[in-house]
Amino acid sequence: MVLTPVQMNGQWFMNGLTQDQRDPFPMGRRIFRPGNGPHFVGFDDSFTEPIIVRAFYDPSQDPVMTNPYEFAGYIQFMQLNFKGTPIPPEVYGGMLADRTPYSDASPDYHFVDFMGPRDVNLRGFFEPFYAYNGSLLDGTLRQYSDFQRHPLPNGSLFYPQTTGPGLSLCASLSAEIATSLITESDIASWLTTDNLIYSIECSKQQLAQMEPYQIALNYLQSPPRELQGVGPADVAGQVVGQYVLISLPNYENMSPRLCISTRDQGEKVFVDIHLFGYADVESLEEETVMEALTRIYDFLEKRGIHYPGASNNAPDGRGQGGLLAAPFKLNPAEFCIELKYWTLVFAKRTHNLRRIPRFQLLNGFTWSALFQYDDDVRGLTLSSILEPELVHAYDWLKPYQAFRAALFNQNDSIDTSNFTKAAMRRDNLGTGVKLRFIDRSGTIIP
Amino acid sequence: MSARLEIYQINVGQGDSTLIVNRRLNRVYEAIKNAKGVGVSDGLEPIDYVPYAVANDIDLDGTIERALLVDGGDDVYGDDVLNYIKKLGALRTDPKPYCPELYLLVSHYHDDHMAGLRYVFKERVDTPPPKKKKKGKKASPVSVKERYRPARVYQTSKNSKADPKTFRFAAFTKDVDEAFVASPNKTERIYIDPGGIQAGTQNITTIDLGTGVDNIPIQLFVLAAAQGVYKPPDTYTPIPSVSKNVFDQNDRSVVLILQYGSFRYFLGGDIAGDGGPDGGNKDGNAANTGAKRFFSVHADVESTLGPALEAYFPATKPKGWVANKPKFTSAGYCTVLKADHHGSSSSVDVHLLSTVCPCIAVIGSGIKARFHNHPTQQVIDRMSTATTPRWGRRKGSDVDNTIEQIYATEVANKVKGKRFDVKLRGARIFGDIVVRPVDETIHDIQAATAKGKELKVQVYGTGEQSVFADPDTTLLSLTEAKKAAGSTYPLGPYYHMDAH
Repeated sequence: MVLTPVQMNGQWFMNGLTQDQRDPFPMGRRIFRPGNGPHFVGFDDSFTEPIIVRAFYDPSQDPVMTNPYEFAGYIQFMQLNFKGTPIPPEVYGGMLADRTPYSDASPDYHFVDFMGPRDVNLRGFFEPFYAYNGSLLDGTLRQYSDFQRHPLPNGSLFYPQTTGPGLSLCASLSAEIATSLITESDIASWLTTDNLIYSIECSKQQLAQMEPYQIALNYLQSPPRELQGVGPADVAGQVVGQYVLISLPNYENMSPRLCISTRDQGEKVFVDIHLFGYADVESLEEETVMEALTRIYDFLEKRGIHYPGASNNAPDGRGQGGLLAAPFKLNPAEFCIELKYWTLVFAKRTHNLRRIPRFQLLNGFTWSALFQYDDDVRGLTLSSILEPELVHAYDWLKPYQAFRAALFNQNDSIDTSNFTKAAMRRDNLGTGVKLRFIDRSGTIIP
Repeated sequence: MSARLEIYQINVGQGDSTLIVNRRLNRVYEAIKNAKGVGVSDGLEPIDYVPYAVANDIDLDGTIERALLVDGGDDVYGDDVLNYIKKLGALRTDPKPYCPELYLLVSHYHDDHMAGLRYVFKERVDTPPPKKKKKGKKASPVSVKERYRPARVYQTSKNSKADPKTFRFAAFTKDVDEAFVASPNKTERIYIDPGGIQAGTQNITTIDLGTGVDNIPIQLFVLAAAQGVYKPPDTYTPIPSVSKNVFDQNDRSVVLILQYGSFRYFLGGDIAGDGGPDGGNKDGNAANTGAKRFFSVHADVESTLGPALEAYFPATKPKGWVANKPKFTSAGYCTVLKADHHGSSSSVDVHLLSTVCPCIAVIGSGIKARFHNHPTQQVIDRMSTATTPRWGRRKGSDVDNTIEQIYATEVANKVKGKRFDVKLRGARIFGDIVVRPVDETIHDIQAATAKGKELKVQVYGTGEQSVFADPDTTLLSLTEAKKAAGSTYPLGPYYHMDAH
């Protein structure tokens, strides 16, 4: 069965994922097929944050999959760079700082994109196939073979010997690029009973059918409430841990933010809507960006890597200083930070065969999330994606060993929302930053 | 001519910072003489001393009787404000860090007013980040140490519900707290309660900047603060939050009226009024109520403030035209109005304008650090005699628009390639805007026993503007060419006359 992407209403979907031809599965606004190989990659920027990447490995397009493997699945590796120099995730901070336990040693700082050691030890998934992250959201996923079902929150494994209705005909991945420098704890500290403007009682059935933010927006859009006439095209969304922040339109760019969350109260569930003033959120965003740049600067200086300061050759004029002035002179057009990914299919056998190892990298693709810094607003924006490129090799052993070593610290954890929000149902919200896609020569892909 | 009172609307882009100085002109004269020789200042009038000294980098330390810095713009302008006020002599070099003549006031706790003030208190130091951070506690990688310590800080009283939870506010509070307990020479802290009442008293907060010509006092009166408008003799009218207990810092702005004889300067922070027809606005100068604006949390402070202004600053009664008193032909009059909230369309409603009847309007606007499409066309049009020749009043007949000239610090041309189309109706773009009432006319009106004496106000500009990293973000040019470096007056000066 060949996977077939189709486009509908400006969004891409994938057909052929199961034998029983279930509904087309969303891929995103933009798709790629690296090297015309067996991988299909889609990017969904319906929300400003996080971006969702969905990948599908079509085994029927890959001759190596004829070998007698038990199953195949995606494992994802990451690396952060500042102007080409690798930096550890805790130096960047925010949501990515959580990945520190898995970061391999200097100078590369590669790390596995997987649930934290505490969750690994609780669940017993000691190989970091990305699909296993789905167990954080779906408690019925307990054994390896459970992950061949489709759809699952974070993708599926492919079992070539097993077919049937509802079983995936490919390996897949559904991952979020969660790079927010604002963390869940930042938002949590702002929630008070004073800024709680609505609390909507819901049933579990409602929440099974609709995301809390959808329930909240529908509620506010109903007359006589405040958001009559506001549709998905008018707002921007950002997920920070368990919270969804919705930016509302304002013709003087003083957009208040709604913060949507859920709260259990005994048998009842409430969708809470808090209101944040525009200036407070802007202040927090700016603060976290400038602190991140300062951490990066200190890290590089310690290693004798020096970039020109922002004050070097600064033109005459106001508005270039301050206590939080950027330590670097960064061109707004340059991609100063790169979050590089290797999204790779590994195949597994339960026992060795001659010349076929138990655990083998087949192939995959590499791609990057690219950030630009705008000193005029002191904003760091994930603005572009470097198009995926087919790869057949990657030095995975070092980060894999770092991952295995980290598992001994059973109390270390990674915020589960780094994975669970990939499964969130998302309206295509019209405003907010929409990604550009760059080819390997640096040209914007139309 | 001389001018002891100087008001500097410092260009901090989309933010506000105002320095008010009571100057000892004789000391400026001495400083010029010491720097340049006896004969140099012979061709200068006393009104020229300070701009001449600034243009020629003459140290003005020790020439100020008292100065008040109201707000400091956003963090990105912190060093611009510091460097400028230092140039003007507001920061003592000895004994550093204590500045006995400098007061600070923060109008409200938004970054574009408050954050730059930190630059007065603190300077950044390069220290390595802490090796260990406490679990769960975020450690800032930016380290600071004390820079200056003003003599006094005015701010609204603490309110755990209303005060913001931003890091910037916490950091600013810490700066003031440290200055408050410093030794020797700690900073005095004056809290302002709702309605502008000085905490611990039943009196309106009054800031004394000394005296000018004929020992006429130079004072500021706080007529509103913390969502309250002063109601004599000792209470206030509360301004409730619009959106169910969500506090908007703009509503809590400290509103100041500076008075020097018959000259007044209105500083309203970021308060809002009624931008719609109920605020006296009509047709094109009414806020666009059809535009999307959801969960707006601005309360209408101006509608309550206007009558309070008229009550607290009444017109001179017929028998009041006597010597040794200031004189005003209308209640609530202020010679200069600094536009509330950078000219947002929900602020500076026509009713407020018809109360204040200013001769000059000043707008602090720009692009950094956040562009908010200010100044809005609606506010420019309310101020312009061409588009709004008469102003409606809350009660009574319409009055003539009294504004002779609008001055703006800077105005956007394009922001990230998108044009900002605002018709300025003849407004002058000046960079820093310096306003100075001429002492002789202050004296003349004070001494007058009949109507008709004219107040003369000088306005000049520095032409200092912001720069941007994005080449597709640009400003409108200054409305006149800046004179050569070293010129006493880079832009202007212009003189405005207002009959009293």
